[in-house]
Amino acid sequence: MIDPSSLVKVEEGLQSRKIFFDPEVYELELERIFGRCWLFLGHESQIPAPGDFMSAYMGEDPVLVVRQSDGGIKALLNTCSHRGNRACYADSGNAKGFTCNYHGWTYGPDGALIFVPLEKECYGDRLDKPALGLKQVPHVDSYKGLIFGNFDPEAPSLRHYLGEIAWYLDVILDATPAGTEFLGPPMKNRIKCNWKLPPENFAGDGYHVGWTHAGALKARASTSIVGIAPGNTEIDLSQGLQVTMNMGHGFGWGTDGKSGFSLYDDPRPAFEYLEKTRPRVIDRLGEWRGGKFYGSNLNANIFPNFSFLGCGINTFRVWLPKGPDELEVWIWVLVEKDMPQHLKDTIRTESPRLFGMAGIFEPDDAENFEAATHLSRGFQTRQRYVRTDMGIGTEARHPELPGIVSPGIIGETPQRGFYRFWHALMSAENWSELAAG
Amino acid sequence: MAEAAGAPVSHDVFHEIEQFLYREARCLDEERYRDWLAMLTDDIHYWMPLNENRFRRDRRPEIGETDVAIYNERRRDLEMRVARFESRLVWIEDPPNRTRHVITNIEANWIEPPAEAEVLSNFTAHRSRREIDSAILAGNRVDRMRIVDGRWKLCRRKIVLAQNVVLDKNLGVFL
Repeated sequence: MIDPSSLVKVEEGLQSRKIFFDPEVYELELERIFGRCWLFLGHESQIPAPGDFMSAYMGEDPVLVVRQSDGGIKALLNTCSHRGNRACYADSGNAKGFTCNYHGWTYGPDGALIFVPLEKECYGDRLDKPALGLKQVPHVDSYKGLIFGNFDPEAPSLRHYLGEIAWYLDVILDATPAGTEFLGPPMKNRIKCNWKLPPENFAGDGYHVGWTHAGALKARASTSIVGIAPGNTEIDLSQGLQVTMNMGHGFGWGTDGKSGFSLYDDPRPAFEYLEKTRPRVIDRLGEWRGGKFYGSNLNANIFPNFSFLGCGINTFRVWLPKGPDELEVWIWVLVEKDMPQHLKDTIRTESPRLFGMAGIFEPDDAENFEAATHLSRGFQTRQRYVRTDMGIGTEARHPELPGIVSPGIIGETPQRGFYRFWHALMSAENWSELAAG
Repeated sequence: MAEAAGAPVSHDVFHEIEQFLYREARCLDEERYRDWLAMLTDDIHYWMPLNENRFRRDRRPEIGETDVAIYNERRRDLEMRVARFESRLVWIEDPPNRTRHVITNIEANWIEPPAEAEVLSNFTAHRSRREIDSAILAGNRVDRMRIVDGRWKLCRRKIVLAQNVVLDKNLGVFL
């Protein structure tokens, strides 16, 4: 029997190393976290036309995300109702239907079972076709282009689940009326680490940037991202803040209005664009979001496993669990739809050059995550706790900003929020118990 | 001159090109990145596109140079990457990794005789790291090579990785 309170000591900011390793904990996560939370599926720009589809995963479950003829979006479990083969093997495309390779059962874009070879001859009239469609994910909804799905019929709405982070997300998704789009295709690779380690790092770990990535910071001659210098030789903690909230979402965000592009080879065209658009963004979103956050360096995670960096690096990724000690990451690049083409092209090449599988920053992290996972094979090692207790007591409500806020870009407030919600989900039988708690 | 555009290069030229590719692979395996940069032209385009599983009936244009790519580098970008290696601050490269490039299936045809050729090759790269980290990457390359000041140099490389999901934690290696 799993006792979540022995695994995560919420008030002390301690996590048992078992949660990064134990198969039983992982099984419960598939049920209570991936079975209940809103999970990121993709961007609406990837499937603009009826019949457009893309493959995605919710936890370990494969789904097909399909644009319907009425413009709506459905997510269908990508496995045949007959003998369980995968219904579609393409990563994306446009289809009038999905035909299983095993016996030819064919499903429409809405998942309905529309054709069974030799049905009359072999089943007579005994096959209940309406009951045998691809299983539909009960809730699919979008927030300003980002598509999410939820397996739990009792789950709160996406808007409720995003809660206070929606206000912040608008800086990225709604700075311009044209909205955003994903550039693809996604980059995919495997990391032999527990799925929680990268999301909590993206939620809050400003501390590692200057040290883990010292070589990359030096190569790009970046004297400062929000005050962090290569080798952590100096730090200006007055810049930026960390935020956590109810559903475990968290982020760290600068407030200087341009550090999101500070790692670029030549950030000047981006700075010009920011200065040109800023008055319009302030009109739209106000002084905090338009004046301070827009263009500033951002690291963020929407619980459980959808992470991104903005406002310039624009790498968006989902960390898909593949067992307790492995994950697969899918990485896209996001741009504002009405950005000048030259700036879109720069972001398209710079984003993966910094944060892609061959980027200069990305490879530094994975080894840290892998070792933190696999060393738990050691029985003695596994008895230990790791910590996210930096800055305990600094978090407070802010007079102007939603969420729980800690000052400065370095601290572990968002990570504690991540594990607080993890603990709540793992301890509760269902969403109503969670809401009551 | 007997050679024509599209025709295979002569035995002698083929030998030069083959030796160039082996020497280049050894530069990478021995982490002699400045020597490697010297084998590239100033207008080098070093490109590794992404793969996607698509049905054969899919009518979308092939993934091209205007899509997101794993590598899409000009000389300045490659020099920046070499500077990163040289910073001695890249902890994942220290202690050093062990890499072996195996280059095979070389074909070379003239684009513009006698100074520019298209060179096809296959590669297998084995990377061993730390205690038991081990990865094998395989694929093919479409190169363009040019004679500059009497020496062959690489001016364009397209690397096609024969994998959809890369089964390693990163691709921090030149191929």
